[in-house]
Amino acid sequence: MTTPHRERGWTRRTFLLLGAAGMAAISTAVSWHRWRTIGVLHHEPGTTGTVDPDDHVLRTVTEFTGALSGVSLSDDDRKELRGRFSYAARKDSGWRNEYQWLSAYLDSLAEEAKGTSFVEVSSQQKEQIMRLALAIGESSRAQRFHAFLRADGRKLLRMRKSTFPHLMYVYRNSGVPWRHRGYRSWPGRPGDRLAYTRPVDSATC
Amino acid sequence: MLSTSKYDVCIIGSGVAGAMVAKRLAGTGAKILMLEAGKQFDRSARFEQLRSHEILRTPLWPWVSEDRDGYVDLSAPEIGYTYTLNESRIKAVGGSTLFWGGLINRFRETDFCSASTYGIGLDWPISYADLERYYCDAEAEVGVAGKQNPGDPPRSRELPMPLWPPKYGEDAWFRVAEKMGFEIGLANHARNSTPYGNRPACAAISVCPVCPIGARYSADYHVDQLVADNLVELAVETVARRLITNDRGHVEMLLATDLDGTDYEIRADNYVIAAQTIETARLLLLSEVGNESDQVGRNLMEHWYTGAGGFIDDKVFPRRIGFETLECNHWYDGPDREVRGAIKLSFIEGRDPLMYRDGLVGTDLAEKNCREFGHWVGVAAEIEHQPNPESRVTLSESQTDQFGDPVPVIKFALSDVDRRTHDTALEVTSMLAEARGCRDVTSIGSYHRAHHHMGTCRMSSDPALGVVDANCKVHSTDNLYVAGASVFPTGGGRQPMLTIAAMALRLGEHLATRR
Repeated sequence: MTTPHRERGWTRRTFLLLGAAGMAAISTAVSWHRWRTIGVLHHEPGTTGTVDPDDHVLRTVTEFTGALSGVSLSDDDRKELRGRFSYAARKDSGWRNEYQWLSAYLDSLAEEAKGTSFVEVSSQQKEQIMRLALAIGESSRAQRFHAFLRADGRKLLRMRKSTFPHLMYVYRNSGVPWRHRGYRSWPGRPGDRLAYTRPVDSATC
Repeated sequence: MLSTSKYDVCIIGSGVAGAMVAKRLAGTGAKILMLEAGKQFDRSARFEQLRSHEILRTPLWPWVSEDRDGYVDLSAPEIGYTYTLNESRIKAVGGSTLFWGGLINRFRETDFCSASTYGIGLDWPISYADLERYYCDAEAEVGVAGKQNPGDPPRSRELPMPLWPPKYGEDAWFRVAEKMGFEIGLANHARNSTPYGNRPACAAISVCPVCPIGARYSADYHVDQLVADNLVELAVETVARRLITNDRGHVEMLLATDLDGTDYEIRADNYVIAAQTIETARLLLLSEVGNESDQVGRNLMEHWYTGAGGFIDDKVFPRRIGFETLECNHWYDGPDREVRGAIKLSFIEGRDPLMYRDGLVGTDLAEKNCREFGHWVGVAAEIEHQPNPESRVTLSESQTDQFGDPVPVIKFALSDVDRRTHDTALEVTSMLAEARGCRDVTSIGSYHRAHHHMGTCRMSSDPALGVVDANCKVHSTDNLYVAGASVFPTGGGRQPMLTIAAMALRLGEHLATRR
């Protein structure tokens, strides 16, 4: 004689437990998403103001962008990039904060390596420091998670996810890369409307 | 506040269709009201907007934003991505001409009779010959620079401005064409090669879809002039919500609401809906007007892009202007056209090696830039989307706008003919890229949207097959008309803007004769 099979029913308790687990999962996912996207891994927008950023900060950010893009900046290039970063910082205090933090961090790396500020080191050393700044937390998931747990680590991750792409975006849309390509006008700036029918003869690459 | 309670003509929408209807009517003394659901943007702010975009990544122009009118998209299973509708319908004075590339073409003769010529698609109730003189007028109004090209239909009047010559390095494409036995032409542009229409000549700013100086045509210039001359009364931020008809099919009034919540009852002898393809169908569906044949909203069409390109040894210098200069119509008709749609080719160049990705920075990035910049070219194909009753606009049953009216549901559906057109286009463009000497030829993608919405209120002499007749009058009414690409029975493979303008001028003339 076989024992009668008893089907497992969905009790009220099971429903409540599953519901609670579901709510917890959704809540965690939303928090995680928010954490990743606003203010933690991405730049947090600020307010528009009239305060010009600190001169040293602008110089540092400009030089760092030169290192990121791998080109030797001319005085014209520096002037243009600086103007654009100044615009960003005035229009959005969130960027001013990011620039200040980045500048201080780069100076600390330069101080540690060469005993001076970032803007004072050679081009080669700037590239080395830039790569050092860029590589933080990059090597493994465990290291990234470890960085996440520290306030400084999170800021560095945000630099990589948000600030560095922003700097390259500003660079790419400026006249700097176009001048290095030998262009006399570029998208956003009026020029000779038939220049496009002729080759560019002064490109550096 | 509207100036009167009765108008001769009420035009809903201030894009190129509405502007051209008004322009043709304006000399007749008609009292014209133009309603615009969106804003009037300040052209003088464009350079500041451009700077903000270049630095802060704000939308290139404020109207190019998805964070706007609600809609539901069901196209992803067909085209492979969610169709971001608001990016391609501009709600403002000037309509979608505020954001477009400026390439402009007449439809070809076969576009009006693809069913009787090839056995696919649908014939229009009018022919190319019926529209030719309106094309000439539209080219004069808009200002077109160019010339008659291989594959262009016959014209009775020269274009008003000199052509744009080819780019440096494009002679290579002419050599490919000669070797392979087809012809390449120079694209026509609604972009001033000389000052024209109180607008300046192009200054090579290279951000063409949003030309900051107005060298590329946009319909707000026409609307502004009509308003300045007191020929049109313009009501902005006023949304047309319902057409009220009597039992004889006569539209007695239009109910509209402005953004302050003030309601208007607008009475006119004639009404013209020129609210772009999606909203035109939506207003008819909301009003339950003109849909006796169940055709309203159906046959929604686009132009889809595909193409291929690769790296070349020689160097071109891209982005010195923001537009293409060459086009090819060889595959527009031609072989196997009975089983596929029209294909128009253009020739493209440039990929920006400076995109921040793959962790490439510093001297490595600079080397990549030197290695790749100016060494990528390709061929893009703009392909026809066949009329398809399942490709359509309907009303949402669950989502409403700020007035409580259902938002549109869009679904672009593809047929086997469309897929064959796409595959042929990809094959042809890959072949041409290889013939040009491209290495590592790859597709530039499939079913990219061109932002050309057509159909949904198609024109037919038979009320059972269409929404409007050959004069663009809604079949079941005696005073309601539709202007714009929504009346197109087929969409061809060429930019629709000039045909929209020509059809609107024709409609304006028809309305003038009714006065």
